[in-house]
Amino acid sequence: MLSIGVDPARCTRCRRCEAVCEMTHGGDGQGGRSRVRIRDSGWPPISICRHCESAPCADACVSGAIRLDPVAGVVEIDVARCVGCWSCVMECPFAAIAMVDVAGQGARAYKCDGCREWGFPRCVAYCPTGALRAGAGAGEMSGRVRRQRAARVLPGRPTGGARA
Amino acid sequence: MNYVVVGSSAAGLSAIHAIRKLDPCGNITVVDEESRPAYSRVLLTHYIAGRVAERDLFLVEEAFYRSYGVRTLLGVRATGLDPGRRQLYLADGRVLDYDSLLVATGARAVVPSWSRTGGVTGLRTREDAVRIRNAALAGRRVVIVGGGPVGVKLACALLELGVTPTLLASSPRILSQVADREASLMLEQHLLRHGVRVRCGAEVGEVAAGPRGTEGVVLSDGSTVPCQLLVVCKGVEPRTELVAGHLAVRRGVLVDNGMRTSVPGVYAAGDVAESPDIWGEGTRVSAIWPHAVKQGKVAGTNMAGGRDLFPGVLPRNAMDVLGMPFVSMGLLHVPAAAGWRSVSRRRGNSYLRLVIRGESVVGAVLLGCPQLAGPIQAAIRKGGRGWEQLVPL
Repeated sequence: MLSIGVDPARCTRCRRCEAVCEMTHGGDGQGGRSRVRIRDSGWPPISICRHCESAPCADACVSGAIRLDPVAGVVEIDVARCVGCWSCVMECPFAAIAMVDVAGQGARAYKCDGCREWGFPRCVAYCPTGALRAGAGAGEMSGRVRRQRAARVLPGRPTGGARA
Repeated sequence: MNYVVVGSSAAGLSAIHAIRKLDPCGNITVVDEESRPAYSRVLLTHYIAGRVAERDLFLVEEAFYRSYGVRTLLGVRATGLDPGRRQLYLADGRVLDYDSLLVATGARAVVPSWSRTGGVTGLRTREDAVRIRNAALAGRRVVIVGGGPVGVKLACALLELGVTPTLLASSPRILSQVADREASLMLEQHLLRHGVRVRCGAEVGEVAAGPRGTEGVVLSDGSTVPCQLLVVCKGVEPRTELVAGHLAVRRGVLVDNGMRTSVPGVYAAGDVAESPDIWGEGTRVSAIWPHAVKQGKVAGTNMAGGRDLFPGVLPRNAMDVLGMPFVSMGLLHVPAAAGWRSVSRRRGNSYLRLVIRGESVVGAVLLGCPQLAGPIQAAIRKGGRGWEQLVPL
């Protein structure tokens, strides 16, 4: 399972993670698309989705937009289903979910997608101090084992809402 | 094992998932009086606003029940219970034997006495939502009775649809149960600026009907607000009639943190349940989605022989009020007792208030600064200490 770990004590606030994330997700360089946030004051010092196995944001999602992909171990947001109700934002203890304006629709939930297309979180790859880690799990379990486990848990995939 | 789940919404579905995780072979039967698969009531205002298509209201497809090996009795009402024999009686005469039963019958909209006429609806079912949306699209004037979260969300939805509603709140301010005075007033101003006609302290006397149906609503001060459709959003009450007399019921069905009722083999979860709060100080009914999902999961796990505990009710609400995010959670009332106080800060349209008991944060109101809500909730759950580091005041 993908799991991202954070060690604020190692963070030097170089903000390379923010820049890499912004570029990876098609931002304009102003930081509006970065899914990782470094704060100079306030809490938490580093905001990024941990891809919780039992994700409170997914349990709270009323529209079935947030779900855990049991194979990749990534907590995903289906923006087309999101209604912008802020429920997930209220639940996330890491303040890792933001809202961004989607043209013509209003604010929609937005967070780390685990860089699935890249196979590994880019911010972690570029963090020079180890403040960001892709924690235990990433790479430990083969895809085959994950799929077997997933099949045991989920015989069919519900379209959304309540999930154990 | 025979599992019977009464109610196929958030709590019921979540329980089915949890049961199947532990017991691949047990017989699961789900009974629900609505003949369609479960849909999300929370999405109804979003459906009215046109953000969600009608088909996307459904939580699961028919195939879900098949793939989970669940026998469905949809469109059938459960009418009675014999906890001694472990039997459930259905309206069509059938009797279901169970080893463990989950009561997830949910809640119903509160219906005031004056509202039992035509031209008045609640907002609880899909049919209600369709009716409201169609009326709004046809240019009917809509009056919303109730200044709580559902009423305010509906007002926003109608505005998004291009209809300017009137919102009548019987209390002196809107959202009086889920916001403090400052936040209420800020949100009321915000609604007024967008054209919603808000009237607080308005008690409905009767519905004025004319030859062509509802023509308005008469308030107890004698004034009349013209409208063709009246939507009553006065909150919900647990549907306990199935189990009343068999199980301990206060406002809802009383359960412990394992979602067990007072009778062995019978569990309750979701809007119908009254469970301990996170402080262990009392029991509460809290009809919100995350509780229903979590309680269903706990109930299902325990029904199937596993062990899980519900951490307790933490009342909370989140909504988008015309672009202004509003979140509140926990205890909001500050009693005039030693040790209680509140701290707040306001910067422009961003407002934050924390309710502190002793050293601990026990409640919060956040307007325009929702990012802090998650960390604050986590702090409340962990005992509430250390909130000073979270929030630069």
